[in-house]
Amino acid sequence: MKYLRLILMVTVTLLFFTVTEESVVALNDEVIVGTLGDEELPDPIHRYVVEK
Amino acid sequence: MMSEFADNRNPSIHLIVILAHLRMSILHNDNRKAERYYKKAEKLIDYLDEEMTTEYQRICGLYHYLLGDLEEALTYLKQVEKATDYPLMEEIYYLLSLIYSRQNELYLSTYYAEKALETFVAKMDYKQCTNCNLILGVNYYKLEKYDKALEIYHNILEQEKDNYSLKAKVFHNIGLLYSKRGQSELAIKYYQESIVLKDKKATKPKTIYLIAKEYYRLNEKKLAETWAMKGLFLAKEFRDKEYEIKLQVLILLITNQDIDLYIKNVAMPFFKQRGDSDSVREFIKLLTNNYEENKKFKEAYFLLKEYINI
Repeated sequence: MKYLRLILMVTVTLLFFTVTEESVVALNDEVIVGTLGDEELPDPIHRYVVEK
Repeated sequence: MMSEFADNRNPSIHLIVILAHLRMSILHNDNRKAERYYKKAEKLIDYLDEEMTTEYQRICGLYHYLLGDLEEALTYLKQVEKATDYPLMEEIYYLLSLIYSRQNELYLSTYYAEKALETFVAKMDYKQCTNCNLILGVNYYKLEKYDKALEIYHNILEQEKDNYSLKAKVFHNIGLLYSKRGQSELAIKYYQESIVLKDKKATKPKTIYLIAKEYYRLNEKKLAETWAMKGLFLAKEFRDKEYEIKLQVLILLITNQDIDLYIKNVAMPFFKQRGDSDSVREFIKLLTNNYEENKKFKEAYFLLKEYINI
């Protein structure tokens, strides 16, 4: 029983660190990938329109 | 022709000459000249007749769009949209679609792109049809409909085999899409193809910035720094403030220097003033990460609160 509790505690601790590590990686990844404003849109139309 | 009227004392004619100069400066990407003519035109707006008012608003919209002040551009172009007899309304729809796409108002952008596309198809203006499709592709990408975006991009590449500047934009956007999908090597390959095709040096810092970012993501710090320095040099040469700041932040990150002060004092005020909420959000995330690593949880909390309100 004593060993079982010990094993359980170690597992939970390890699990906690794994999850924390993963969330940090995920956050970093999102920051680096965040490129929503870097697209190439076409140019605006360059036409002068007073020749009516 | 413009010099013929340059000394004309009639303020209305003088204003037309100034607007023509302003339009030419915008066309040649000469921001300094454009600013000078814009200020001159502003002083003469009382002399605008009804016919020229719409044209003035259109040029001002374009001027602010190119300078990155999207809100101001929108104000002017919305006024043109109200004019029922404007002969080239599809061009206004096209500009509105561009602005809304940059502001992430994707449904509005798609609405205006499709409205413009309808008229361009009827007029058989295929160049503009392709441009509208490119906006739609970017909007699909932003909506995370990657397959649909890729389909549009490949169609454009198929149709526009000799239009190198357009192909450069499409390659850049395909790179961005693969980056978002986590396929960094493929992303870099497309970015590099884009750079080769870009004939104007002034357009290169954006793509170079993304290459540096991708190498940083792959933990190839030496390569990331080399590309970032190259981009920074070009951004400074062409007075591209947006990418100068973005590259500067990236270099600070690559070289493990403190980003806190630069982001707070330079980057955030610049992008806030331009109404570029995407970049502000990205910088907030970066700073929050930095605070988290340094256990400054209170500062991180206030920043995240600001993030929610953007």
